[in-house]
Amino acid sequence: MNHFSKITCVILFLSLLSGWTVSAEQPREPKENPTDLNSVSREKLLSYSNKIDSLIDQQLDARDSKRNRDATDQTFLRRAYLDIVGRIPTIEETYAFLESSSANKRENLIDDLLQSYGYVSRQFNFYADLLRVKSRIRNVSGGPYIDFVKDSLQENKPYDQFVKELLTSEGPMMDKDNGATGYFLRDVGMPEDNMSNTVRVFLGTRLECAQCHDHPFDKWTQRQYFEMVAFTGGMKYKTKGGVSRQDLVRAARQSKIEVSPETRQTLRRLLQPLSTGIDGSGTGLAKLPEGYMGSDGEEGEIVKAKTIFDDQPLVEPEVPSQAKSNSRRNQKKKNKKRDGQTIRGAKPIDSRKAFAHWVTDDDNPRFAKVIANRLWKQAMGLGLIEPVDVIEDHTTASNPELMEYLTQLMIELDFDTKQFLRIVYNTQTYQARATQSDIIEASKYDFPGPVLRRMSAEQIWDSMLTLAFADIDDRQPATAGGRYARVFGGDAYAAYEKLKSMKPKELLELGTTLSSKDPKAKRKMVMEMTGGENMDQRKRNQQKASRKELAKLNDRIRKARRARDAERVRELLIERTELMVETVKDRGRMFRASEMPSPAPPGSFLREFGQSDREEIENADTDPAVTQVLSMMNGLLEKRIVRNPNTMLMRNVVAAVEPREKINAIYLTILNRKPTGAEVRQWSKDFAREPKTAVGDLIWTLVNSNEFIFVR
Amino acid sequence: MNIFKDSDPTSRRSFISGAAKAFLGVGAMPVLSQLAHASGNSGNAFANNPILPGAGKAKSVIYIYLGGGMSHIDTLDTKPGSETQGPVESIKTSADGIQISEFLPGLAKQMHHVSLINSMNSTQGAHAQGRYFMHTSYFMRGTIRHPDMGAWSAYHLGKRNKGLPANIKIGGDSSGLGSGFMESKYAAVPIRDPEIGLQNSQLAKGVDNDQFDRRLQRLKKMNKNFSTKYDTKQTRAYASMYDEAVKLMRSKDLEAFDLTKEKQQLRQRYGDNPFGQGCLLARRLVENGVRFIEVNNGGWDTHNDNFTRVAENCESLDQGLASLLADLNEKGMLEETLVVLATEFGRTPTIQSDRDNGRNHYPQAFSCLLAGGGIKGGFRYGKTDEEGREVIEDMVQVPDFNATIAHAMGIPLEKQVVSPSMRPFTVADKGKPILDVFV
Repeated sequence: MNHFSKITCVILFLSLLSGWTVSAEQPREPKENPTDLNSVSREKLLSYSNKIDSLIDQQLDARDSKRNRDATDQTFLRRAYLDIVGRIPTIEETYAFLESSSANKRENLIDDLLQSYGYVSRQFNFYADLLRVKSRIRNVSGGPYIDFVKDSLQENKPYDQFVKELLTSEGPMMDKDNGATGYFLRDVGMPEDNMSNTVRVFLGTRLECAQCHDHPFDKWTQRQYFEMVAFTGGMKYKTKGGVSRQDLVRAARQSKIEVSPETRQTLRRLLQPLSTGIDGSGTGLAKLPEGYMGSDGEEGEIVKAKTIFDDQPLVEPEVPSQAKSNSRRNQKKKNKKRDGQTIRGAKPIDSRKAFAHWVTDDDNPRFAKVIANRLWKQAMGLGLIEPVDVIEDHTTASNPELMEYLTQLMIELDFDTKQFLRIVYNTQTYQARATQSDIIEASKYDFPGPVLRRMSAEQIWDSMLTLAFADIDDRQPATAGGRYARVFGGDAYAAYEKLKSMKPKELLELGTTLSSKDPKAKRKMVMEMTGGENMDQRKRNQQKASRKELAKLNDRIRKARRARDAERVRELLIERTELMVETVKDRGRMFRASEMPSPAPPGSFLREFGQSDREEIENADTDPAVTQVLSMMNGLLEKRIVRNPNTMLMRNVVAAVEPREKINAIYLTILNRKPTGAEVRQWSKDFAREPKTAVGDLIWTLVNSNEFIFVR
Repeated sequence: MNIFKDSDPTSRRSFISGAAKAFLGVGAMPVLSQLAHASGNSGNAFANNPILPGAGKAKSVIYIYLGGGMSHIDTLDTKPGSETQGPVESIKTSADGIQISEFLPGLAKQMHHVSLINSMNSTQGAHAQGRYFMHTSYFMRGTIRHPDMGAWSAYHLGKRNKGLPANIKIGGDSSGLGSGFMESKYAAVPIRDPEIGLQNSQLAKGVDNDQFDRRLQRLKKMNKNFSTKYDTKQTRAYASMYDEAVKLMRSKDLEAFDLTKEKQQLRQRYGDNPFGQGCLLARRLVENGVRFIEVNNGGWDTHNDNFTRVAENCESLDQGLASLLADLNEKGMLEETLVVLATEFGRTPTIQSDRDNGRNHYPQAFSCLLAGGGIKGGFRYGKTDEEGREVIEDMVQVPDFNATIAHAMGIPLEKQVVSPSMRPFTVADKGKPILDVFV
C-alpha cells in the first residue's frame, strides 16, 4: 500500500465518522509541478478571460440572446476534471472542492489540475488521435514517439516548437529524445500522404484530393501539391548505422558460423530498431508521378518546392543534370519503374527546416488559428470554425472577432497551449451550464455555454478506473515489453543501446541462441545478458509480499470479528480493500487509456466506445452502439466494479454505516453530487427491501445512466 | 460523427450545417436513415439493371477470408507437371474438367456448386494494404478510411432481421477495417469466438431477471429525468439503445449465436476448430437474416515450409467450407446465399528453396472462389499461364471481384456516398461485375 492511500484511508475513515468534514481540509497531494503558471499573472489571466466573455456577450446581445446560467459547483467540478485531467474526481477530490469556501476555488482547481499528470494524459489522448500515434510502427516499438509527445506535454513545450521538432526530425528513432521521427515513420514510404496530413493537421487545409488530380472543391492544383511534397523530398525512412548485413555475413564467414534461415530472421528483427529512423533534410525537389492528371505539368517532370497560400520557394534547390533528362520521352520504362519517385543526384538542402519554419511562423495565416480553434473546441465541444480542418479562403468563424482574438492570443502567449486553455477554462462562458438542446448549425452557435457531450472512450475508461483503483494518474513506460526487450532486462531503449554496442560476432551468437528451439539455452542467455536480474521475478516477489501482508490482515480481521469490534473490522476492511486495489492494479494491467497500447486492441472496451484506431486523423467517435450498451449492462462494469469488493468505490461504501450514508457515498463517487431527496427516498426503500443487492443495483444504475456518460 | 448524403458533393453550405447536426445527432439525421431504408427496399429487389443476370439473388453473403495470402498454385489453380507446382498433386472434382489440389478433397466434391476465379490480380503486395484493398476496393491512405464490403451492404441494404445486426465478423482481427468514414453502426459486430457467441448478451452472473428489471426501471427513471433537462438526439439515442439491447438480449433469434443448438454430429462435420464452428455459426446467422458475415481463417503467410503449412491449413478450411456448401445446399439455402472465399494475394510460383521451400507474397496472380447466390456451379473463370505466374485470360481486379459480390447482393454500383471529407465513393470503386459467373 502506498503512502497516499494510507493517508486517505485514515482521513476518509475519520471523515466518515465525523460527517464528511475533515476531508475538506485534507491537503492536496503535491503533484509534480513541471511548469510555472505564473508566467501569466492572475490579473492578466482574468483580463484575457473577460475579453473572451465580452466578445461573446457582444454577439449574444446582437442576437438578443443570453449566456446560460452559471454552472453549479458540482457540475463545474465534474466537467473540469473530465476536460482537464480526463476522468471524474474521486470522492476525496469531490469533497475537497465542494466543501471549500475559498472565493477562488474554481481558479485554484483549474491550476491544480493543469499541473498534474492527468493533464498530460488527457492531452496525450487528444494528440494521439490528431497525430495517429501508435504503439507499434511497422515492426518496432512506437514508444519513442509516445514518449516524445508526453515529454513535450509534461514540460509544456510551446506548440510551435513541438511542431517544428516533428517536421525537422532526423536520425534513429530510438536515440535519446528523438521520438519526433515517429511523425514521419508513422507514414513510412508515403511522403505524399504525410504532406497532406501535415497540411490538414497543422494548417486546417485539405490538400489530399490534389494528390491525384486538381482539387475538385478547393483551389489547389496537383502541381501545387507536389511542390509542397518537394519540401520533404529525398527523405528516407532508414538511417545508416548499426551493424550492416554485410558485416554479419563477413563475421559469419570468418568465424565459420552457420546461419540458419530462422537465425537470419531473428537477426533481421533484432536489428531493425537500429536502422529505423529518418534520413535526409529535404532536397526541395519532387517528381510529378506516373499518371499525372494535373493541369500544368507532365509525368516525370521535376518540380521545385513552393508553399501554398503565398507561393514562396523558401529554398533554392538545384535540379541535378542527370535527372533533367528524366522526362517522359527520353526515359525507358524499365528505368522509370526502378526509380519511382526518387530523383537521382538530388542534394539535401535543409528544405524541411525551411518548411517547418514557414508552417509555424506567426505570419502563417492558418497555423495559430487552427490550434486556437481546436483547443477551443476541446474545451467547449464545438469549434468556432467547423469542420476544424476544412478551412478555405472564404471560411468564416461563427464569431469572427473572437476567432481573431484567440488567434492573436495564441501568438501573444508564444503558443503556450496550457496557458491558453487556462484562460478559456476561466471564462464565464466555459463555466456556464451546458446548452440543453441540439445545435442545428455550428456556424450560428453563439456560445452561451459549452456543448453537452458524450464522454470520449478514454474519459469513460479512465472514469471507470477511478471507481476501481487509487492513484491512477501515473505515467507508465511506453517502451516496456516488446519482442526482445526481456533479453536485455528492460525496455526497447535498453535493447537498442545494448544492440548498438554489440560486435557482429556477438550478434550472430545472440541471434543463433534466440532462434534456437532450446529453451534452456535461451534462459541461460537471458540470465547472462541481464546479470540474473529479471523484471518478472521482481514483480513476482512484490506480489508475494503483498499476499503475505494480505494474509496477516485477514488474520487481524478474524480476530476483530471474534472480539465483536465492529469499528475495528470496518477499519481493517478498508485497509484490505486498498491493499487489494494495489495488487489488482499491478496484476490487471489496467492503466489509464494514455498508458495502454495505442490504439487499444480491436474489440476492447476503449475501441468499443469509439477510441480512434489511429489510422485516420481525429478518428475517434462517440456514436452509440448496441455492443457498448451490452458491455455496460452485463460485462466489464458488473465484473470489475459492481461485483468487485476490492475497489475504491466499495471502500467508500464499506466506510459508510447507514444505508443513507452508503447511498450518499455511491452518488458522490460515481456522479460527484449528492442524491436528491427523491433519490434518497427511493433507494432507501430498495436498501430496506433488497439489502443484499441494493448496493450493486445502485452502482449499476448510476454508471449506466446518461448522467454518467455525458459531460454537462 | 459521420454524414452521408447523395446530393451534389460540392454543395458546401448544406454540408456544413449537416456537420453541425451530425455533431450532436449521432447518425440520427433523419434524411440519412430514411435514405438507407429507401435504398434498402429497392436494393433487395434489383437495384442494378434487372436485365443483367444474377442481380440481387444473394440475400446474404458468407465471406471467408484467408489472412496472410493463400498460395494459389497449391490450392485452386494447380499446375500439374510444372516446376512451380512442387510436390502437390491435383485431383478430380465433381465438376467436369476441373481439378484442384489434393489438399482440398472435400471441396472437390462440392465443385459443382462453385465458380473458381483463377485470374485475380492486385497491386498491393503488403498484408495490411492487400487486406485493406480486398475488403474495401480502395487503396489504403493516411487521409481516409473506406468502409469494407460488410459495411457497404449494411449501409445500402439495411437489416433483414430487425432484431439482429446486419453485419457480423467472426474471429480474426482485421484492424483498421470496418465502417470507414460511414457511421459506426454499419460496422460489423465482432464475434471473437464462435463458441462464445455474442458477448455480454446474457445477464451477468448472479443477476436474475427480477433484479435486472428493477435496475432497468430505475435506470429509465434516471434517464427520463436527465432527458427532460438535456433533450438532445444523442441522449435520446443512448436511452433508446438500452431498449434495443434489451430487445436483443431477449430476442428468440439470439439463439442464432448459440452453437449448442446444433446437433453434435453436424458440429463435428464442420470441424472441431474455430474456423469450422465459425462457418456453422455463419450459416445459423444467415438463417436468421443476417446480411453479411465474414469468417476469418488465418496463417496463410507461408514464407517458410509452404507445403507442410498449406496442407495443414487446408484441413480445417476444406472441412469447414465443404460442410458449409453441402449444408447450405441440403437446407435449400444455397440459392440465396453467396459464399465467397477471398485472400489478399497469392504466393510466388518460384519455390524459395533457401527458405525451406517457402513462397513469398505474389499479388500479380491469385485465386478466389464464389458459390451459391446465383453463381454458376462447376465453372472456372480466368486463367494464368502454365506456371501460374501471369494472368493470361479474363483478368479480374479486386474492384471487379467486389463489384461481383455487390451485384449479386443487389447493391447499386453507381450510387455515390459522400464522405465527411466531401469525397464521393461508390461500392467496389467502379469495378465491373463478372457477369459470366452468374447463371
